[in-house]
Amino acid sequence: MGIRVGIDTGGTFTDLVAVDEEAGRWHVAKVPSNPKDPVSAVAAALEAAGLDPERISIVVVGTTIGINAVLTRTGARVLYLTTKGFEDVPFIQRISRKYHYDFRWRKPTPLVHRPDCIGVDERLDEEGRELVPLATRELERVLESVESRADGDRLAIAVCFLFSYLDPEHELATRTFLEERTGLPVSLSHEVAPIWREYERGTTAIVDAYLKPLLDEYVSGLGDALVSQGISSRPSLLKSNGGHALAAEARERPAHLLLSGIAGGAIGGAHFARLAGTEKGIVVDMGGTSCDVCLIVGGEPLYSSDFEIEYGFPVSVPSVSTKTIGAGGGSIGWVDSGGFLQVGPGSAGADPGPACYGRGGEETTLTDANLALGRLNPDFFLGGRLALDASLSRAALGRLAAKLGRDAVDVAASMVRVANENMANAIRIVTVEQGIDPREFAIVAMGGAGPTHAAEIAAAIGIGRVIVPANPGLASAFGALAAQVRVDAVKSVYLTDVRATAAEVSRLFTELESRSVADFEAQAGGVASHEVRRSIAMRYQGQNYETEVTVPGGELADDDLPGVYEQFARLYESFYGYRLDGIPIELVRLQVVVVGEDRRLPELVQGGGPAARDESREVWFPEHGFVATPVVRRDSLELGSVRGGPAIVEEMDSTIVVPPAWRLESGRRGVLELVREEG
Amino acid sequence: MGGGIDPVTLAIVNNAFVNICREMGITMMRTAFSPIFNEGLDFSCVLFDRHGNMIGQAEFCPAQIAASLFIVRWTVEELGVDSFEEGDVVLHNDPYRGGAHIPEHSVIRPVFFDGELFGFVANVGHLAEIGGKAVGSFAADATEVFQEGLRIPPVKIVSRDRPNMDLWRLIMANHRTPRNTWGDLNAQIGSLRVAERSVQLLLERYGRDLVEEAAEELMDYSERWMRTEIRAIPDGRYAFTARMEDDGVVERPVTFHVEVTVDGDRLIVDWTGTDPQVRGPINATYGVTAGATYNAIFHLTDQSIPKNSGVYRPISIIAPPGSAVNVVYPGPSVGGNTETHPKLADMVIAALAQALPGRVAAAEGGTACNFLFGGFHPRTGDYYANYHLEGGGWGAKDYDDGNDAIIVKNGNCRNTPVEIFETRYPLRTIEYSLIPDSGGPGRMRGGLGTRRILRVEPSTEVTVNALFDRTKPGFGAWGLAGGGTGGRAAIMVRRKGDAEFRTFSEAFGTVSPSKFTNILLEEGDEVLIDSPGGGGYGDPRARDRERVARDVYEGFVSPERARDLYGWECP
Repeated sequence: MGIRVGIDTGGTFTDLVAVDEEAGRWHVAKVPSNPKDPVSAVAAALEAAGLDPERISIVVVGTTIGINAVLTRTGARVLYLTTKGFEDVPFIQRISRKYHYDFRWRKPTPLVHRPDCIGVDERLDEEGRELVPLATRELERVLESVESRADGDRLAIAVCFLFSYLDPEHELATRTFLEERTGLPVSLSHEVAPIWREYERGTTAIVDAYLKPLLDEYVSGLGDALVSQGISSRPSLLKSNGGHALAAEARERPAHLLLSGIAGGAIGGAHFARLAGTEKGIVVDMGGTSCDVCLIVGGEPLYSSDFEIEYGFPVSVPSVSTKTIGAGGGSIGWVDSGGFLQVGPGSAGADPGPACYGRGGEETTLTDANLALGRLNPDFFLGGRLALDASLSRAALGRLAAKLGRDAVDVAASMVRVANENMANAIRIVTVEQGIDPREFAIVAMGGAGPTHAAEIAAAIGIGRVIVPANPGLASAFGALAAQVRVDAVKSVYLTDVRATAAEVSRLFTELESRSVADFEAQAGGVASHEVRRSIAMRYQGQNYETEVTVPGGELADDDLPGVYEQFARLYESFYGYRLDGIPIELVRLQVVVVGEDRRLPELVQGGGPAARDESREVWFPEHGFVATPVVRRDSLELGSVRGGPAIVEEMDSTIVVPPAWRLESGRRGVLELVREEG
Repeated sequence: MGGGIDPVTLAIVNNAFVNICREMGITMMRTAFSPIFNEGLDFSCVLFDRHGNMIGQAEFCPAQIAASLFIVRWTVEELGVDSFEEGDVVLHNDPYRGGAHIPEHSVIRPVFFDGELFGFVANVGHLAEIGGKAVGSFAADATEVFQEGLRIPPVKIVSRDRPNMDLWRLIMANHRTPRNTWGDLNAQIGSLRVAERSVQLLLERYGRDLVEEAAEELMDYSERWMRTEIRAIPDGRYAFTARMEDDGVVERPVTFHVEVTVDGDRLIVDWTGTDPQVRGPINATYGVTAGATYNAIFHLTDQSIPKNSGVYRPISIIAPPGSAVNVVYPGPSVGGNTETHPKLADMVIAALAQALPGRVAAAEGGTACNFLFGGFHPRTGDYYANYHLEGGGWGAKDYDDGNDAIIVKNGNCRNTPVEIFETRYPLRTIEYSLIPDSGGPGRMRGGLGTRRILRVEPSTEVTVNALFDRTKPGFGAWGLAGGGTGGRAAIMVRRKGDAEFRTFSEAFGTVSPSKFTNILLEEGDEVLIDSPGGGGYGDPRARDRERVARDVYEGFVSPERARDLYGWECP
């Protein structure tokens, strides 16, 4: 028992949420981020929260440091060692184009230089058998290449040999040899991403090496910052898979930290969905520049290993599966050359920001549209910390309206509608990819702008329920706090239902599991209670996309396997409407998840504010136009109360829009729900 | 905007049309069996009104832009709109009925709403093996369509949601890998049901009248926008001529000619002057020629014009029947789609180079390097067939270099990872690399081609076929504005024990060095595949010195060539 702290370092703000488990009390803080010195904002947030440092038991930080270093190209110089003959694979990539009809698109530039890609004479075949052994003189030759480049750059080594996921001996021997002699960090592809597809695995190993020196510095700085605050517990980092790990362990696999800054939103969203009593949610985390969408199924975010930094630049590690759409409060409305009104993906960002910020922004943004429609309160934006100038919004809308030959209110309403439809379409695609009917899901609205748009997005998809957590703008930090220690391990295999035996599958699972549990204990800082989940990714032979099937733990018996195959066929049929009996089933990947026990968090209940006053303002709604709409502060809502729309609910970091045909339910557990009225 | 529907609703209905087609495509990608289908994404999805107008599309592969337009309209016209009942699916792959080439199979399903026909959902996909004289159904020396695979006129493969099993059995008996056919056609047909449901939901939400009116207005809108784009191109007549090295049957170059007339807000693209139809399969169907023309124009105009029937209205295409750009029955055409299409598209782009110097690009590699092989796998004893292709260098532009190693314009396939390739097929990859100096020199440099060397595994026989172009001197990807030609393609063999790679003509006496079928390779034989580089743009001596230095540092350009062609002096 003590104080648990979750911190999210975003591009604009660093948020902190802490819970005092003894007192059952919550603390929150919001401070400006400092992109040049990310650790200093963490220290500032801790200071602002005013916690008793000695009682802090754990600090989990979600950070964008990894992704930023890749985007700004400020990582280490990487030497890439690979099987001779395949040195150019990071440059050749997968040969497809992002757009069909665009000469301007450029292929991703690799994080390595071509002369730093060094071929090693060694080779395995597709069953992991050695065709060419790795000779010591070959390693000596490589050592010379490495030493000749040790000219003061921050250096790191990445190794990716063909088929290393089947037998890692050559990669391991290479690391042992080079580490002893050079002291440089070495990332091995079979450890970072044990999957087939040499470009994806190799690129992930390169990203890992590229970030290693930087992460080392960051983790040291973070440790120092905690010590200087008098905090004795060691820091943990949120990983891309939404689990946390001791920072000292996590820095060994920087590629697994790439989505550290995004994962918190998904974890937080899943937590609030469960709190509201549903296992099926669509997290819509909409901030200033973009909107992250994540599906929650069975009470947990969906995971995938096909994240791409940009088109064609994959980082194939287990990550919460998030789709980012260029739609946020700062998204710019514009007229395309065909005369259609478009919104985003361009954004005015935080600086200069929307026109109404009064910082010289000339563009018309979604925030300006919401302000003109009466949805936002110019005197209570960010809890009154930023005064909005509605006249600047009107002027900006007027400029856009002139191009379209329509009036400003019409344009504002259209911008909101276009943005909502864009998000609804993106959500439909995300659900179709999973074979899911979105109408059974609830939207979990987070981020400053999520609750403003959520009900109308829901309506466009046919969803009738929206969940709004307390402090929706802090939900990512909340996710860091709600996260558990979690290890995701995968192993590529090549088995079919004809060839696989229960004994072999059991053996592979046992190996994978014992390694994963060891990793789990290292990341948790000791033995901790945990749950192990197994699954197999399967497909009909010849297909390219898999369906995951859960497998029971322990030793498998031969007659267990047919049940697993039947489960696959049923899942497939439920997604696609038919099954293909008689066609062999391929087992492509074995997957093991080791996850710590769910921690019970005290309810985060708001309320106790002054009773609702009779405030109202004119707010625009489709098919109604401007209507007098009651405006209430969230902390004035009585628990368990229900009120009909339209209504506006304002709180420190967000504004909730309740349209006319919806009602607002103030749940007992700190979440608000918007429910569409039947009929 | 004109019309009665507000532009925001129009945009929303348009996005819904596109989204329905994308949903159809994603379903197909996840359930199809052939790599060319699920990894190569060689398919397109479309939505039509009941009058045969395309109102929405999501092409995953540009080759089908025109084919998908013609196939549905022509099939509905041929069978009669009244012959479609709810739950029917019509299948066809006839290249003379709007298709691009015979491996592409189209399925079409009517969408009814409240018992009345609204329109059609359809998709076109490339089946990897459809029989014919050569495994992989890319018969590079075919002289008639009958050698290219099983030809299917429009037939009902599903009647009122009941599969016509007699037809299924007939088709599968004529394909070499029927299990893939079964999986792919099921994926195509299954995705139609997903799309049908989405269309019906859209009609429920907005009402039939509004959706139909919106579709009409959207077509007019696209037409107007395309006319605006064309009006911005200076009026005039612009011509370009190019050659392919041979047709696979007769060893003689084939000449193509285009004249593009820009006349106010319309474009006339006239292919008259192209050689008569040739004996071998590089003939383009009308669907290919039209598709290549549209592909070029889409590269030169605003990408975001909604792609519906309206966008094509301002463009007229003249392709004389019986010529190499409009093959007639029973002429062969399988290579027209992959080899001829990219060159035709680049010709239209090159013709417009003087009118639009800031927008065009030099020629790309322009051959898919189709390499097809099959046999019995020594480990499993199963019969396999594979369609392999490569990316080449792309053409440089006034403002930037061309990309290295990218698939031809008519497609958007990915390569097969070596680890997947070796797991499935008994060929070992020895090398997969960029070819230095293969990019056409210029102020902006053409992209590099790639080299791949494959070796046949022990105790294995493999039957191989190839359909390449640009292997002979003088046939490389052209440069523009003084830029140089890209490096050549190659398909060569080194028999076990030989010292050097030779062409297949030298080693096996094939008529064409780049187009041949049914060559048997044995244990230890090696195949070398070079993809071509892209053309350069502008005078290489005017190239920014930092770019030259970086090319030399990265090894994209050798110091000798940097000195000789770029006038670069090593500091």
